[in-house]
Amino acid sequence: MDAGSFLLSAHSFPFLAFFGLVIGGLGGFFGVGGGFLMVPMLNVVFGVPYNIAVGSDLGQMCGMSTAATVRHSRFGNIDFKLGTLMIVGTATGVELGAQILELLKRVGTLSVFGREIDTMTVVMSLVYALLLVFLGQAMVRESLRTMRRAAGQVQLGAETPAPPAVVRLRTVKLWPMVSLPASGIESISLWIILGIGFVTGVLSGMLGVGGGFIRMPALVYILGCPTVVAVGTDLFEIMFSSAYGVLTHAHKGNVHLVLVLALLVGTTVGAQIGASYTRRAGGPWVRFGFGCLAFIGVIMVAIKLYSKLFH
Amino acid sequence: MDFLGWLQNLGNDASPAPGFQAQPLYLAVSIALPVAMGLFVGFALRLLERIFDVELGKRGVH
Repeated sequence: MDAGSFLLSAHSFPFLAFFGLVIGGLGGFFGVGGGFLMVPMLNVVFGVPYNIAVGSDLGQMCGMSTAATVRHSRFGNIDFKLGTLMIVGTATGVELGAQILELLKRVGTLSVFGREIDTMTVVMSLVYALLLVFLGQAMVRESLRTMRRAAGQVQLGAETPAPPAVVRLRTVKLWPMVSLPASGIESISLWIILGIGFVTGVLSGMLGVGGGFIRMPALVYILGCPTVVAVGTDLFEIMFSSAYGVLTHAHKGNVHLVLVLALLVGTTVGAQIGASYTRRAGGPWVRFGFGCLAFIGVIMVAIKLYSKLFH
Repeated sequence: MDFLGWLQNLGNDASPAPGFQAQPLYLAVSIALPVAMGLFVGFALRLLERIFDVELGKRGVH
């Protein structure tokens, strides 16, 4: 199936924009980008092949992160040195992720229970299901913990400590060492920074997600960045890594321009609407709802995969 | 031809078939479209926030 053979045309623009509005609204409401929902839902709802969905979602993400960085830049919370160093690792990871997707596309079909099925669909559905389960359970556990804390069952102010092995990474003295004054970090191995960028880059290039759910805790716990600097630097980094992702996926023909524009229009409006409603709901309940939403996503992906395998 | 139709045609050229070769215009539009729209939205929101002295909804991009 190629970019022209599924329901993606100028006529379907309003439907795609509305879809972007819904996902953008959910993302804005739950305070996340929604890339991990966008790609599987584009596949499930519109039948967009995963490679096109990933490439086009990266285009949408590039626009949204550019807008967010422009807005965030006035607060001065971006560590440009850290962001620039991390881009090197991320770009390498994005390229690897895109090549993995390309490889899956070339494998063609495989036989499952006597049926020929697209390898990319099977692998990507399973990877997304695992990702959504991981994110969903983490968010539900964290929200329940916060609710118990508010109810007095857990000591107030008790934060979840980083695992000792993670904190120990900060002390690795592998040459070359760099200092990051804007983040208040005296010395850290360059390889740690590149490694964080690389891992999130692979996720981004293969799955079309920003990877902030890994990069943010990594910046705070492994590098020891202040949270506000981590947020600003994360946005700056996503802007460049998603731009690189768009270029490399466009080079492979995976970016559908009408889809990118529709998603951008929808998510831009939806994100503002969603974020405005967040203020009316309690934080832990919002995150609990987000976790449940991730599990609904898993069910939808599973149903789609089941129908391909057995019908 | 309208803008959407033009985008659609440009996208139709981008069929991910074996031996696919991306056109320079398709590559340029793929990156210019989201960046231009992001810059426009970002500065427009900043302007609105400054004029009305409000902080519109924040959003992560994870």
